[in-house]
Amino acid sequence: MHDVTLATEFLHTVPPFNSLATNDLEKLSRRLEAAYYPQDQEIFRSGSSPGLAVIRKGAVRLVDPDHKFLDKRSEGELFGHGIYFHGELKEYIAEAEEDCLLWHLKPDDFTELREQHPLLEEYFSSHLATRLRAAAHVRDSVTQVRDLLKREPVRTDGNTSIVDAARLMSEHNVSSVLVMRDGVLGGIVTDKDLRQRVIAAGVDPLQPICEVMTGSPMTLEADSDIDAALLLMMRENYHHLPVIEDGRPVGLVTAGDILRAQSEHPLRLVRDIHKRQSVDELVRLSRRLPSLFERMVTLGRDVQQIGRMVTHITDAFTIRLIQLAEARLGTPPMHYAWVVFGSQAREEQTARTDQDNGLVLERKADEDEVEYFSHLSEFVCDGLDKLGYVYCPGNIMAMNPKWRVSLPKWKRHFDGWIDEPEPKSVMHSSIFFDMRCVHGRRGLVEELLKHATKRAKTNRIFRRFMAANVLAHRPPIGFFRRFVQEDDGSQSEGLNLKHRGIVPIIDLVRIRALEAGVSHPNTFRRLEEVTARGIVNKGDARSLRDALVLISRIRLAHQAEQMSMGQDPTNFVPPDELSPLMRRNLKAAFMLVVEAQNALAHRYQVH
Amino acid sequence: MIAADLELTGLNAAADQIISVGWTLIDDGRVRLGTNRHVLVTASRTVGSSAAIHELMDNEVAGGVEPGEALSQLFEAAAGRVWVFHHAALDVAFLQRACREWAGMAPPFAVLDTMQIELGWRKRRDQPVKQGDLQLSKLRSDYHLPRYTAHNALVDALATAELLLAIAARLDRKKPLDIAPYLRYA
Repeated sequence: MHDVTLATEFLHTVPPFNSLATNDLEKLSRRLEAAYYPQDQEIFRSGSSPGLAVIRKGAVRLVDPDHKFLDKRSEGELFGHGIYFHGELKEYIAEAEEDCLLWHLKPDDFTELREQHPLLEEYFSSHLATRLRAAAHVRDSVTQVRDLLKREPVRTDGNTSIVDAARLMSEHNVSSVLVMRDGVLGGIVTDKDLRQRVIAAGVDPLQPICEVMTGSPMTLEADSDIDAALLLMMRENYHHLPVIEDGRPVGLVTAGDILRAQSEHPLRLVRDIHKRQSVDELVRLSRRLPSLFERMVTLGRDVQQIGRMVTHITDAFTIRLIQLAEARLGTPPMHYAWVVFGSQAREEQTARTDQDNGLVLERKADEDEVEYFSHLSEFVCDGLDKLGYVYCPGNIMAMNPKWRVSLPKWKRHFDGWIDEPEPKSVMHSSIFFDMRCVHGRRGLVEELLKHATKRAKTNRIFRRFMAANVLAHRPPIGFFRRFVQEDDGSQSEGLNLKHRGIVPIIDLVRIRALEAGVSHPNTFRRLEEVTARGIVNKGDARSLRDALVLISRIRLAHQAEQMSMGQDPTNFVPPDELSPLMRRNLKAAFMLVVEAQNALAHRYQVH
Repeated sequence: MIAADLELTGLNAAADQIISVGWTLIDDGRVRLGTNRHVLVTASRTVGSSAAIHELMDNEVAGGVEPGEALSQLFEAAAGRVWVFHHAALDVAFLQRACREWAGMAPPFAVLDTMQIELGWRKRRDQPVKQGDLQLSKLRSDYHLPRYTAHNALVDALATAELLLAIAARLDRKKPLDIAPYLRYA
């Protein structure tokens, strides 16, 4: 046992120190001083430059100079440095919430440490948004083509003879070789080419290889997404594609490489869905969803991509059910559109959710037509429920006659909500403005959204009501062990990531989108568009995006874990099940949401 | 102050030996982790007769320094400091004998004994003390100090140092604590 092993072992678990090498941690440990503070004792007042403190055991309460609560920190967390509370650097007093053992690092030692490690300097000093950005951009596991590359590609010059090129391929035991011309990729030759273009065609193997290569081959960029790569290969029927980075070939991928990387690909499920002939068969297929979801999360696909894929599958089930219904009921009596709302519309679905849908009819239906669409929607909604997309508790479903109406009637609904905002209509607006057509006449939905968006854009009072509604749902200001710290000083158990983090962002972005007249339902897309139109500045948009990515990622990981243990996925996370790093990122994300909400409150003069 | 702990081949100060010494320094109410030391002591004769256990021990001990060297490092660090032990009687008895063997005499010890201080505190409050209540790990848990799973002379010295801080915090919130009433001399 080394002289400071105990300390370094602990620091290995404390961000940002866990990024230091062991010998640096040892140096740091030798500068630490342990001190004990019984419950309720003041640890320091701000301004007395106390250096940094690591909580080795116990919990610490940070309060402002008026003793108003700011934050609580527990084992493995830090304080003493400049801390952003609600996005603002504030003076604070630290008190022992419980009996505490702390490790102090003196101010001079802390300064020296930051100077020696740029990473720590960034961690402790940079702006909140910068830090969060770094966290949101950590790339996890296999998502890019570069992750599949196993070795340098085998290369040869264009003037090499065919026979020498073939020998080179045998030596390296590869089925293709890249042909270089003046330092850049000129072509590719595969086993199949040697068979078809050389042997079968009776070409002299002493000819230069460039005579039989496939010139200017299709390539992939190293940072392409592997799903995009697979789609391209399937569509174009390529089996080998060279991978390029900075204009230079860095490897080769085969369709097999990609398929192996994702043994159960979501797109395969979508293909299977379209082959099924009955609801029962679809139900059997839907049992594959949990493991697929888990796999997507553990493979580390990014949040947007998971949202898109899960939604893509829900869409496929929905479309297949509609097709089965139409096959049973006969040709529809008029044009209509099957629309979905909420997360499915936004393409932001995660683990299974309830269904939110409706029908937009071309015109007012007569009695027979009402009958037809009533049967159709019942068939589809019942089917979705059986597949696990349970009935909407608010009855926002196509099987409810209220949400199965003609285009003009839909327009009147929206006009009513927008022109006479009251709590219920504001709630409806937040649901129905996230709308997407999954089947039928797209034009009907486009026309409806164009109409509604335009009206919302010109009605500031309506948006002000929506803003007030958004501000009623604030992220928690802190959390601690199993508890969430509320603004009013009370605590509630557990943390609902959806309601406290994700929904506030989605709501906020929706208002800014309406302000800009953007009708696309996807939150990330809305952020891009409002930025492009100058409604939201780039930095703020990026912060919101990063916050959404981070909170969503934590929710996804949590849901995947619940599912792997055979539990139903929830949005509810006990804060003490989060790692210190996750807690820290989550706090930062919440602070950015609060900042954005404050800006919204200011803009719409609602408080 | 210097918090120290010894690892021994047995509990008999007349016959058993010191295997290792661990210590750390406390200044102004803080344990300075940079002063942590763990010194293994070479046995002058084989550690014991129970071969199976001690073969391992002999090997471990072989990496150490002569007892005289270990003592001189320890007393250099301890110069001018009050000693802190948990259950001081045992450690002090071993250190006194070792000093006599190597220097012909033993220095006086001014000692804070975390076990005795806690016992006194409980007695003054008429709290019953059961067997095991005053063990280092039990007391640490009472004071909400972290649990150390590893045990050696250094870990226990550190554990004792932190326990002293916790006990001192309860005895008197004024800093620095007047330790005079708790000092014992050997």
